[in-house]
Amino acid sequence: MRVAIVEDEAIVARRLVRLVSRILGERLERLVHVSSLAEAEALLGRSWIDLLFLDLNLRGRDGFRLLADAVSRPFDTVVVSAHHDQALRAFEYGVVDFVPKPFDEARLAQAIHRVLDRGGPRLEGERAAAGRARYLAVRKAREVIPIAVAEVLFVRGAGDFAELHCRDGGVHLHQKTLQRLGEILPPAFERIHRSYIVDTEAIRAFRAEEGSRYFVRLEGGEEVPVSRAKARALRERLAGTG
Amino acid sequence: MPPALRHVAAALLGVGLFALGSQPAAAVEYAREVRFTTRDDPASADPAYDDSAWQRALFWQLPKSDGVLWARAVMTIESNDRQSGSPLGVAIGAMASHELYWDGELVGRGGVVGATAAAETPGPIQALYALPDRLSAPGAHQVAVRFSAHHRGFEPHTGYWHLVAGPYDRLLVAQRSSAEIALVALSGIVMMAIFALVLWLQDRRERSSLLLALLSAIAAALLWAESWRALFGYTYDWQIVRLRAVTALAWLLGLGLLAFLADRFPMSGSRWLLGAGLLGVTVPAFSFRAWDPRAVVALLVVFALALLWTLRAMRARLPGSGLVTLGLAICLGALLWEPGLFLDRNLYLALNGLFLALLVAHARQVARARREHDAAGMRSARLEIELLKRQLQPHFLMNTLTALSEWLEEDPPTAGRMVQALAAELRLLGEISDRRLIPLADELALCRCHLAVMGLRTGDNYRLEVSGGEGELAEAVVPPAMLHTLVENAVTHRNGAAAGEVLVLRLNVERARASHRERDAAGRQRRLRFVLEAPLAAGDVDGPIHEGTGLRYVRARLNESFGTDWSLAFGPSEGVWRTTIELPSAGSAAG
Repeated sequence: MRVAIVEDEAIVARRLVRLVSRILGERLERLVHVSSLAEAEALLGRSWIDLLFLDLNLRGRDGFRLLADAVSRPFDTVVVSAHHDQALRAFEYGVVDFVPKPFDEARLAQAIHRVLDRGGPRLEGERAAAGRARYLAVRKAREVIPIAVAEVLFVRGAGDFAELHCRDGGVHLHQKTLQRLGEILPPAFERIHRSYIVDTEAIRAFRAEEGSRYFVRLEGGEEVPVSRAKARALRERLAGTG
Repeated sequence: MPPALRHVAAALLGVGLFALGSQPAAAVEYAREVRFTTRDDPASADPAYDDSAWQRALFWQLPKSDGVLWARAVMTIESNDRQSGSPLGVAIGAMASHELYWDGELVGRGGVVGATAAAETPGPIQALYALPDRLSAPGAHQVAVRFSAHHRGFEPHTGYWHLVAGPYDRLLVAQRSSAEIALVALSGIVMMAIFALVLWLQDRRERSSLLLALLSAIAAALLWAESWRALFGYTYDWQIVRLRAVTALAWLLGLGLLAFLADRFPMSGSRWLLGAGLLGVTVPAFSFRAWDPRAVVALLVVFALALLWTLRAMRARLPGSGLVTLGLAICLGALLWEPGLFLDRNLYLALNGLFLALLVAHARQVARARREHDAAGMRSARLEIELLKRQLQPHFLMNTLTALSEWLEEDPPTAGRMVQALAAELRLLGEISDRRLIPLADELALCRCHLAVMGLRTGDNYRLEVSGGEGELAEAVVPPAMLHTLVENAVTHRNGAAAGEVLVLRLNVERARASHRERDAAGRQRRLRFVLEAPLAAGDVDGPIHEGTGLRYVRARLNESFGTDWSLAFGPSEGVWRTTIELPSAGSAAG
């Protein structure tokens, strides 16, 4: 795993470096630490990062500018902050975890394992903790634009990227993979197909075609394919509520 | 006007009107034309005595006599005077001792009439005698009075003569009625004096309350002196004493009123007001032979000057000025309406109205001042909380705790040093946070403690170098954490400094250039200038201006201690971030 740390407090950074190295052991492929805003901004553009530890208060500058930038990137972001009251806001931005200062090794390990154990068995509570994003930050030209999750109808996987299809017909490219977005989106968003995450509350109809091909029609009329594995459960649930 | 005061006003007004309305119609007979002589013949009391050779005069114009003065008059008893069932009576007022004969019979004696001062004992200035039934038949009666007046002590314009006959109870009521008004007015003003005194005792800093209490006491004394005769009576030789007292009290009241108004409604020109007032009350005292005009003219000048002052105060929108203007206008109106009767009658109610207005205006200003004082206290408390809260702010506290966690595991001795440095900073903060101004030395100690904590935490080496004259450094006082806040900003803002760097902050304290007026007795300038320079990271021109809450705190503290008499400027300058603060030095600091 390749880890980057943005932390301006020398001693805190030293602690992060030491503990991350210990937790990951041989699994740690690379570890970089920067302390200034300029270095951090440059660091975020690098594609090799898997996990970013971000101090939310960078010497008094508004860390959320940097956070919006970070969450628009392909990698996972864990916020490490003294400002505990900002946890909710950070989760709304779509971070994987929020580690309050002061922290110990166990708390840091929990955050790392949340990323490491992706795809593995997951506790109910953990899903709820992570799935709190209310905005997805997308990069347009040199800007970072927050898209409200409430505006998103479905997400289509497109290789290493994901397309956010919005209720107003707009389509935005997000740098995260479909799987990573699935981690942070609210529970109403379900992966109904290898390439699709859909806001299940927007499903209006279920349709079956020959050859066991299934589709759901969403509000606004768009149709999205459903995998065979999901089809049965989804149809029953729709029949139950409809 | 507060509701309670409104009730008091209504009650006073009601009682006052009642007192005026209850004056009885005078169904009494005044002695008018009299004959008089200075020849002391005991037979003059006899109704049959032939006084045709005596001089004639109106009774109230009787001249002064060096020895004994006899006066004779015929008074008529109306047949219906007896119907009320009351006995008849005769009232006499004079600045003289008297013997009163009714139909040749001695019915009353005031003092001992004598041909010489030694032989005379002064009698009461007014007296009321009941007439026996056998002397009360309707029709004409011969009245003779034997006077002597050796103890007047001055040359009055008239002898204050009056002689009146009629139903005894009517005469009594007439005599008492003026005393009733006086009593009501007097008790009202005495209450106000006590109330103002209590206000002052509760808050000794409120000088106006004491002034108002004294002024009310003077007014009460004036009313008492004016109503002395009606209330208690006295022998006529005290008349001069009373007149002097009235004049002196009117003099004091006039000056006191102007002084109170100048204090209550502070505006430019108060010296002119007091100067004109002094002239206005003093000149009449030497300009008139009669006594009453001295007080009346003095009060006229005072009311007019006071009215001008409060009108100015109204234009300046000073609170309470409208009410006092109204009270003064009523006083001036009452005086101009009947100048001759002012002291005897209108003075009572006019002064009551005026003092009620003064008291209400004063109470309102005291309440306002108290609110402002409370608000200032709240602001100070809030600033103290803000200062302490900033030390508990998460960025400082949680990062420090995180650093401590790290040292506990990796480097326990450093953890120990950190705990000591942090404890020292918190202890100093606790000592200074509830003060408004602290010596510069304490402030610098706090700054150094903070730099020690931050140095340990960031791994940088911070230093604070202080320069300036010994006098300036010793004399300087600053709001608590003023420099600490700036130092904190400078250190927090140090963006991307490599660990282990040496960072030097420089503070210089010097006398600021100031106008001539602001120099102290030794001719030194009274303002001090604090210049704090912190190195800027390369390429950084924004400086720590984003640290909004810190600067807000510094400004609020400066406002609290120095009002508007301070300045704060900051900006980049030759590779340093320079913050300049100018404020008055310790000797001239406000509060």
